Amino acid sequence: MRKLALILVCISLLTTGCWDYQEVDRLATVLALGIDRIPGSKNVLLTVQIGKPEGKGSSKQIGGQGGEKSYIIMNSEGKSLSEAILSIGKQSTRRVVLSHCKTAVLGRDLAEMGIGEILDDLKRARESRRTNWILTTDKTAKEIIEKDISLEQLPGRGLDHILQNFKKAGRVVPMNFNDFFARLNGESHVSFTPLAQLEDIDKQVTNQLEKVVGRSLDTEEKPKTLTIGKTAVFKNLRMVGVLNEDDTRAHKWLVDSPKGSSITLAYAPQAQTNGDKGDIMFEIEDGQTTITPHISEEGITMNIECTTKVLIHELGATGVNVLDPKVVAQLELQTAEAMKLQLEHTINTAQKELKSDCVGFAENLHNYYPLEWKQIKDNWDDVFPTVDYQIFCKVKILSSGTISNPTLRSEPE
Amino acid sequence: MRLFRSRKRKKAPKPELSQPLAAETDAKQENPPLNNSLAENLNTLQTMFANCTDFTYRELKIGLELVPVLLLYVNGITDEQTVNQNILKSLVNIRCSNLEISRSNNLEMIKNEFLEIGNITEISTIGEVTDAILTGSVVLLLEGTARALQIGTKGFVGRPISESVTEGVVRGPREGFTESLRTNTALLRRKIKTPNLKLEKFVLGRVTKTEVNIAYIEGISNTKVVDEVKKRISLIDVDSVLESAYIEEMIEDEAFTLFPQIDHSERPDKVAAGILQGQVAIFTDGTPFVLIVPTMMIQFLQSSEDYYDRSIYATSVRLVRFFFLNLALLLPALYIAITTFHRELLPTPLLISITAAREGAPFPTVIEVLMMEVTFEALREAGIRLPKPVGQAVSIVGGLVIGDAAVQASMVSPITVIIVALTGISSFGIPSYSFALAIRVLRFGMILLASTLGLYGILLGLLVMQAHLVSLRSFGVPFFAPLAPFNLRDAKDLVMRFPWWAMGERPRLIAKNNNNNTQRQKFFLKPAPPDENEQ
Repeated sequence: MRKLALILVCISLLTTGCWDYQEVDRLATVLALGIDRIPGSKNVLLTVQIGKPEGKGSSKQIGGQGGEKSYIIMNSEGKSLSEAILSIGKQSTRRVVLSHCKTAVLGRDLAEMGIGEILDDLKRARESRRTNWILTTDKTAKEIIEKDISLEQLPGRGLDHILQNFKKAGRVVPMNFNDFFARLNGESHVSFTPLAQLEDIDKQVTNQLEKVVGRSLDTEEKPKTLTIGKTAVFKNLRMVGVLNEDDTRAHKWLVDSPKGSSITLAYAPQAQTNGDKGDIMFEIEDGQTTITPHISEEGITMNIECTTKVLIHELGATGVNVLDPKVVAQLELQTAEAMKLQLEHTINTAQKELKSDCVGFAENLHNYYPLEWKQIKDNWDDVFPTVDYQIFCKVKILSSGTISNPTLRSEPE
Repeated sequence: MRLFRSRKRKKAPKPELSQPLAAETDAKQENPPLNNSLAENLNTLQTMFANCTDFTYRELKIGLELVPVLLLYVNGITDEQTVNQNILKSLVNIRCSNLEISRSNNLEMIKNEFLEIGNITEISTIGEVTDAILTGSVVLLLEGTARALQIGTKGFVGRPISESVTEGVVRGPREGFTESLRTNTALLRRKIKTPNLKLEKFVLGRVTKTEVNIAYIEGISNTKVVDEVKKRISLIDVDSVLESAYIEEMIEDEAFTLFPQIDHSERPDKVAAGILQGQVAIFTDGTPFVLIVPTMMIQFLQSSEDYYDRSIYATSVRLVRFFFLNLALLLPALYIAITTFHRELLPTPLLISITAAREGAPFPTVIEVLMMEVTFEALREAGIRLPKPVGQAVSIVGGLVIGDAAVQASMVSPITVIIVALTGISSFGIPSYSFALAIRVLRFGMILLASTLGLYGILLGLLVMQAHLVSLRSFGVPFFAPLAPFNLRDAKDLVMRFPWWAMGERPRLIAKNNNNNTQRQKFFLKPAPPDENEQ
């Protein structure tokens, strides 16, 4: 009996274990993957960025600086995402592993055609994590994946870093698979992701400078830069539109929190105070947005309360005595008004343009009025654009950020 | 563990040693008393010590009547100067005295009036005579007396007291034990000056007749432990004891384990500290290593210097030691498990640089690590055993081969070299050599487990090891105490080393004796500036 027990214990402990033994030099580590689809075609076009191990002896160089790049790009095609991943095996001598892939980029065409199958594949893939980032792009995912990010040896990690930074301070709400799915499966079936774009920032700057200088600037042609500043909105697994940068910022105040964001106030001096026009930038130190729905006979009203604590980050206007409590109180009111306008604009965009509830009204209704929600639920798409809302913004300036009044008045011309 | 216990019990106890050992057949003969006749006695002893060149005897005629006297000793283990100055000279000086053969108290007279030696006992059998001669005494036989005098003249030229080699300290006493038992007990006695420090004598080894002393402080040590030590030692019946390890292996609680359950030291201060907290020390003649029982595992990770450095520093050093203990045991195994099974645990850049380092490596990671580990063990062995000049050459060549050539030749990846080197360094962080040996062996087991079962295997190995550790006992004290069973009061000398003014109690599990008083010193000894009112 004891012998049997011993044997059973040994079998149960030793015949199990980790099974996926694989030497690291037999693996191709995917850092980021991009998924595209051509309208009209059924096939998925996959672009993967694979970290390239530099062999011994080769000097490490920062990617794109004349040396070899420290990653390679592989492409494949397949009827589904998993088939496309498998068919990379046709060209790769090493097993493709996704466990280090932190970011998935969806091409615009794919996003507009519907992402149901792709999401299912990503959800099932054992190596892909629920905490991975999801990004959408306004053109093709391939371009984003192939794009070098300056200062980063591995652009895939660069994307990860950008989105990580958004978590602490930023204007865009970064989205991981988990949150994305949760929102898609939520009451409104509306979700969103940050939108990655390739912008020719260099050229924009050069053009503007050229206009002023009146001659062509002697600068090198630079490649486009990857920027993430807008938000793509998904409704029922399809991308329905894009929030521009200002709306994206206010959107973050609504669905996440204003903390870490910033507001710019276009300051215009009132008659009795003399000073110049200018922009005042506030850094939002802390803040909170609560949305409280009210259902009355007139209809649904959303009370949006946004309280923020801000610091003066930059004082563009002159003649503003930020050490004067009265002035500060005035500024607080003006800033609150500016915030309110911005929030209104964003909610309007969602209601009128996108017609999708990316601001979280449905969740709040469901939480506060579960019984009523059941009735509205089915025609929420029609109800949402008509929902009334009231915005109450409260701004508290914590500190002037200075110990003396810094702004000198500019001499009248 | 019950599974295994039943198997162990089935073994029938071996029958008593029926035949005497070959070497002791002569000695075992019945112990005849001494003869009246000097010539007869000499004859007997000469046949016994036939072919023993170091056996020396000297015949003298002393007194007015020229009474024949015989001095017997073994050359080399007696103090030649004492023999000449204090014995021969005094005997020769008995000219004027009227020593007569017929008188029966001649021996007493010599003993009481002439010999200028402190340690003299009377003996009366051949066996006692041989024992006395062999332990370095001079034996004096007198014509017409069936008794003899054993004159203590032990004088062996031993190693002087020198600095302990295996347990060096920066701060603390430098002296170390020597091979001579008496010197060692003297070193202890110099530290603990109380008649309660008991030194009990045992003679072990039928052939070697090695003297073994157990030392403990009456009233501090646990009498049960002392009795158990005495019992276990008295059961030892072997032909030889050449090192304390002989005793250690015969008195430990669990024979089949990698872990040493008895600590040993060659530092008198460490032994004294052990005795003062209630442990029992076992001194063995012929070796500087003194056993200390009962031992808890944590002692293998403590160094005597912990108690001489500032307590905060000692605590942090201990933390480093625990960390390195884990590294020494697990680092190669973790490396294998993580790189071959659980790549997800690595940061991406590290994964890519490990991949780059392994690019073109011909062997699997396990083989690589095993190769390097075995090479390292060989180098270490060479460093210890080989004569010093050669050892240095070996370590230079080995260092070059391991560190550079193997990587240059693409035999192993540089990361493996780093891992093995780090493991090697970590294993030197364990103060106890014998405990580090156990870790060394277990490391290989962990490597195999990691290479077949991944992290799961490592956890399995740790689990079994932990279960085994807590099941061990050393003279009735749980080996893993005071961690398991946990004892908060003993924990003041566990990971933390409390300052001396806070160490009010001896470890309860060791020093708990009949009166249950484990107080070591006055409580509340924390130094503070004097009260202002008193000034």
